[in-house]
Amino acid sequence: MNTATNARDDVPLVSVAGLQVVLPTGERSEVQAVRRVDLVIRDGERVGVVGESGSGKSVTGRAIAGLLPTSPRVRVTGSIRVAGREMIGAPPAAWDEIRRTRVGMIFQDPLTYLNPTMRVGKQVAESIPPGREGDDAARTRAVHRFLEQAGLEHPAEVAAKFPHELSGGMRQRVLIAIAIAKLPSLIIADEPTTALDATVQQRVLKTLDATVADLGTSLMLISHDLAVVAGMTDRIYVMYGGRVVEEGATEQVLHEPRHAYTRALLRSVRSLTDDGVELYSIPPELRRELAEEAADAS
Amino acid sequence: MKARLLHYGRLSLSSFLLFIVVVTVLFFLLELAPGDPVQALVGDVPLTDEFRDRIMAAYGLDKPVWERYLIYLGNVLRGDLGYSFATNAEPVLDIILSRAGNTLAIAVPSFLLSTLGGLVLGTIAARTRRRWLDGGISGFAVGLFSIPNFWFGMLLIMVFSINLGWLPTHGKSPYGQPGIHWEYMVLPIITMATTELAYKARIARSAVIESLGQDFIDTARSKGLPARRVLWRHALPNGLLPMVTVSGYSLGFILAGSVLVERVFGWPGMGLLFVDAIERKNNMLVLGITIVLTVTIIVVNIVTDVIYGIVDPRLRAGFAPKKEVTT
Amino acid sequence: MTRQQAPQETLPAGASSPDPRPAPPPASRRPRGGQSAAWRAFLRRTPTRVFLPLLIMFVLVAAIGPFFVADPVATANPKLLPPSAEHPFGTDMLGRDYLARVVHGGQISLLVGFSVAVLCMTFGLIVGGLAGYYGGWIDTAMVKVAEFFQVLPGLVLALVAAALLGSNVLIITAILAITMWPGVGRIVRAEAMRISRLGYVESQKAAGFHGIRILVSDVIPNAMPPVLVATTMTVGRAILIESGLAYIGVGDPGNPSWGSLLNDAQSHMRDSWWLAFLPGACIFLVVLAVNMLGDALNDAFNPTIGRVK
Repeated sequence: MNTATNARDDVPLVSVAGLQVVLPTGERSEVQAVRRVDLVIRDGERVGVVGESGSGKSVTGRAIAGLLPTSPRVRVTGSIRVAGREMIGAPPAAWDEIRRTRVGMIFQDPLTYLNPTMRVGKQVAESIPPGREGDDAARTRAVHRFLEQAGLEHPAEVAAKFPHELSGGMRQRVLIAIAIAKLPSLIIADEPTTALDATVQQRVLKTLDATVADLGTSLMLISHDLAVVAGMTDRIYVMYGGRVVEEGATEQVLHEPRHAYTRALLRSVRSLTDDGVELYSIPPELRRELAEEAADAS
Repeated sequence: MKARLLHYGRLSLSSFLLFIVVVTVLFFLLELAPGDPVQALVGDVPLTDEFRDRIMAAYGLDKPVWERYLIYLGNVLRGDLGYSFATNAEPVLDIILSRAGNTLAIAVPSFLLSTLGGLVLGTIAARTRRRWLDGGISGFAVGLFSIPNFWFGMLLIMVFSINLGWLPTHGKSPYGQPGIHWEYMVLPIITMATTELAYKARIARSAVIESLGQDFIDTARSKGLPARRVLWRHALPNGLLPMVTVSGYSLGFILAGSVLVERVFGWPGMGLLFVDAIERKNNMLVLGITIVLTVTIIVVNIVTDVIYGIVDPRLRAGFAPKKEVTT
Repeated sequence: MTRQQAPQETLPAGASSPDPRPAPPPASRRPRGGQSAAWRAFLRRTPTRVFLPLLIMFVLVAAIGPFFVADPVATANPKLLPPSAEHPFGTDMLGRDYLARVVHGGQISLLVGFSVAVLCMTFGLIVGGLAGYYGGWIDTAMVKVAEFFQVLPGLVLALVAAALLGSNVLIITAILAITMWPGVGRIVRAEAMRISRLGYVESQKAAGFHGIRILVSDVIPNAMPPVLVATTMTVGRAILIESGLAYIGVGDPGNPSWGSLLNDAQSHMRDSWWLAFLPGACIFLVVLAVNMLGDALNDAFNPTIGRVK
């Protein structure tokens, strides 16, 4: 695990300030999915973003990657700086470039996130910026290399297959390969193991861990599962209702949580895993408190 | 592999059974026709007693229903669709085949035109950010398929042939000349293609919009691919798969609709033959054409199935895709 | 017959066979506020405001117009007069007032169109509901019937039947209803299948509620929005097919519809444009109105957030 002390003091890789995202939810309705979020990711750092569904964690991740829905009703305000460059309001070509070389994203459900009519190898090859590897043969070799790095044995065979011919775990590894194939500076992983069987989850996580370590990329790991995030990150952001309610070094946040929500979250996790502890779920009073906090802040 | 053989086997069997059912229904419709059964078979042709006896013998009209049915079925399966008494007692099948070419001459271009046009318009409507363009195309499409196609043909004739004199009014070639002259084809093809084009444009639009909303588009975008490539390599190939099926059905509609369009233009194809036969109560011919049409549609359906199976890799491995496109 | 699903979409009036043509999206996407809010949304939409009055106007004219116009069979007038103040739609080749003919024709066309739609809806609800809920032979039978009408297009079958059995309004209506109900039936079937799998239905079954009762109290109300959309579109399709039949000459000779008028007009396109133009324009407007309303209904009951990606 990289430690934050290795980060250089110059411009952080990703710097998010006052981010607000409004998403449409119906013909006439919309919701503020992200309310004034500040977030920083430095080179080589691993950052976790934890929260329940609806907390805005996925939306934040997608906003950084520029992968929010393109409907004109989606509004993004605030500041997102990637490698020092302000991305909010930047032209689509700039976003394309960031996505092509800098930021890779791993999504949740490998079945629906892979093109069902395109061979897997070709989908990985698409991720390699044109010209970087040289001729076709070199690119094919690179594709196999990345597939292998993502933990797929017999990469040549796998590359020739279609997504439906692979198992869930294998497909997720393909998504990992797609993300790393562009040799990014940052990988955003949005619930990368949630759709997988429990047994497969651990293995895929280990692979992700290893690849990130090998490549030295930064990682933004988004998950509702504290256990997943705990083992793999240097720093953690806890989100609720579109806001960051707590942040800090992972160890510290987990052992000495300051915010009531973080404490409740930890308690509910422990109640699931430890014997003798009553099953705990976040009480309505706490939710009301949090709602008031949110109202005050906005 | 075996799953596919099984599938095609079942498909062939059910297609054949469907064909039998159609022939059966047609036979019983004929049975139900009021009036003299011999006259019903023969049409508006005066009957001598001797003629009548021959007909009764040949078609077993004195035999019970189920025997007659089997005779008829047997004939059909052997390709004997009866004789058209109203027109020199030619074999029905021969008459149909001689005119089928004319119908195909306008049906096939209509099919191609409407498919291509529908795809293009639908894709434009789906991709565009300009709501007025999308709304305009969609509204235009609804308008087009609300038009009765034969009336549209009549309008075209009145405007372009009668008023402006640019194109001929009817027929397939100048009087007395054989073959098909291209300027005679223009209006019939436009008429036939228009309604289908509108329909396919709507479906293509839905399909592409749905496809663009799929998750794997996110992955494609996350690779930083330019929007054009995302559309052409990812959205369209997947989104337009349903168009294969739709196109198959569309050909059937075009052929059925030729009945109307050919009447408008006096185009001597199977459709006009059908209309004629109905007017003259030449029922063997009527049934014969219907049977040929049905067989054609069945064959087209099978071919569509095969093509779809080739084009969708999930089917090549034997999986059934769940593709539902919503408006 | 074929494995792949035809895309789900609203049925446009213009196809001559119901089955493979797609159906509206499932009613499982409920708008906020439930059905009454959706109805209000429907009434607010622009297409509704334009076309609902138009349709109502046509219906009214068809219903009571015949009392106000001249006698449609009186051949006393000069022949083939273009539209004028005295004869707003002109006269036809036998000297009959054309406005009267069009109005009476409208009665037939609209009557057939709406009757067919109502029959389709009724039959579709019953059979589709049973098929979707109970499955089994009813389901298989329905699928087979739908396949049958796909290979033998409605227009052609109606032509054959009308030619053989005689062409009168009743027979034509019956045949069209028979050919077109599977389109509606499919929607109900899909909804019934969906509902029969829901959790609370299981508990109702456990509590001893009859399948029929569940069908009536749950399936039908839930299926109604897409069924209404499909039924609306069916009106249009039925009118188009009936017009086609009449145009070929298989319409009811005693009860001419708009299509019959077009049949007569075929040989007069050169000299009397109004004979062909007016009845066809009426068909077009009615079918357009019905299709637009169906679309508006669909949009109101199944609102999408708009293109999202």
